[in-house]
This record gives sequence, C-alpha cells and structure tokens, in this order.
Amino acid sequence: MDKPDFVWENLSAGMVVGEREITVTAEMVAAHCGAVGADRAWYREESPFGGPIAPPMIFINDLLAIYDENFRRFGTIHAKLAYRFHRPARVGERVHQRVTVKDLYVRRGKGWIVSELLVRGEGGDVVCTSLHTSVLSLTRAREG
Amino acid sequence: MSQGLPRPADLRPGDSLPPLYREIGWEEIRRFNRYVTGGNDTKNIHTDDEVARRAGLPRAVAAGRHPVAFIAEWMTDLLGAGFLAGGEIEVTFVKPIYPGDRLQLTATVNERAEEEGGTRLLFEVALLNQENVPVTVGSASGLLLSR
Repeated sequence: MDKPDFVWENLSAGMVVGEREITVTAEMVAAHCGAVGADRAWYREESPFGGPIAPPMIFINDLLAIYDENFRRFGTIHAKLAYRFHRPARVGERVHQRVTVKDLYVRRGKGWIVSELLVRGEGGDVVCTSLHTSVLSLTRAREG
Repeated sequence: MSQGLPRPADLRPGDSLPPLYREIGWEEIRRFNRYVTGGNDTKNIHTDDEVARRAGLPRAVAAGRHPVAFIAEWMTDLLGAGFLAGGEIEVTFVKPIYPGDRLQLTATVNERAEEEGGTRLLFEVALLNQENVPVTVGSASGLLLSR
C-alpha cells in the first residue's frame, strides 16, 4: 500500500506516527561514533552505568526514520531541536521508540510541525526524549 | 575528547569553556549521510549542490542535527555521567552550515541551579562559522556529580 505524503493534510496534533523496537548494537554505536567523530571508552568498554553504553545522540536519525517508515517524505528542514537525556541506552539493550505529532501550526505563511521521539528502555523507563520543530509543506493549510 | 576543560565544580556564571573547533567538510557530510541512510551514498540537499539548488538553496548544506552531536559529546567530556543521565540540549538553527565550514563551539555558564538530583550547570551554547556568524544557538545543561 502506498504511504501517504508527509504534508499538512495527512498529519494532526496528537497522532502517533509510528512505533518500533530496536536493539542498540555495538555496530550501531561504532557507526554513530564514526559519523559524528565521537570517541569514548565508555562506548566500547566499562562505563559508570555497568558495561558499554551508547552515545547520547545515538537516536539522532530515528525520528526521521520512523517518519520514513510511515510517510513519503521529501526532505525535512529542521528549525529547532530539544533533547533530554534521562539515562544512556546500554549496548545490547532493546528499546521502544514512539514518534508523536505534538503540534502543527502556520506562522508567517509557513507550515511547522513539532514531533516528539520518546525512547523507553527494557524496563519501560524513559531513556531520552527529543522534540523536533521542522518546516512542513503546506497543501491545504490555512493561517490561524 | 576535548582537552583542557576546567573542573565543572569550579565553574560559575559568566565562565566560558575553552572553545572547541570542528570542521564539517564534504567527507564529514558524506559520512554522516551514509550513516543516516543506512550505508547508502544518496544525493540530497546535504550531499549535492545541484539537488540543493533545485530545493531553493544556494548550495548543499550540512544537516543541522549533525553538529548537535558535537555539543552532546563536548558536554559529556565535561560532565560525564551527569550529562548522560540528566543532560539537556535545546538549539535553534539560525543559519545554514555549508561544506567546508569551520565551526567554533562556545559555551558560557548562565546559571548554577539547585534541584533534586544535585546542581545543574546551565550553559548558553553557540556554533559560530569561520566568519564568526552564529549558525546554531541555544542551551545545554547537565548535573554536577560529586567525584
């Protein structure tokens, strides 16, 4: 089935865009570290959290990845980002991710979308949250 | 890892960290793109000038979230577990970052706030390009842990 386009009319505040579970692997951590130039022994060996942990920004792309699993997206221009790190994810941990639309609005003729990525650990506790404000293509949006 | 960072317990409002410099060249942009696309070399507004121009940009631009990871790692260098469990970052992207830009990361203590988990160190942070123009501005914070 075709995925809907990532445009105003197909989104609404409060809607859950998608959920998934992933396992944080050593390979993911190594790829992330290579991509952003991070290097820390805690990511490979022992850490104060008991064993290797993932870097704080390990889920840097996961909100967009979940959008891409559920929408046809043509690129996203971010305006703001906010992260809250409750605890690091452990290497080998299975985490649950959920993306929700928190707000949609029109300002100065542009559409904006605020989306949240919530990541929970194996015990259900929150690992991190992030809020992403980005430009949204307007189709039938109305100022107001 | 950042070098020459002060002891976080010694930091007071108005104190600045020694700036950190990071370059975002084509290679860094392509490496980041390969990572976020699952290992693919795709053409998009970040990796290709022509695609960027078709999208209304003057040329390719780095993904804004890419250097946010630099801030997170810098704060982890400084605060360790107090950033990894209790840290926050809030940033606004005010100007594009272009391939080849040399970024200066700056952080100045705004506040030391007492809260349930300890003392929170709140920084005003910015990324400046080589022309000293802010491209990303915002805040970062984490907890001071007794060592």
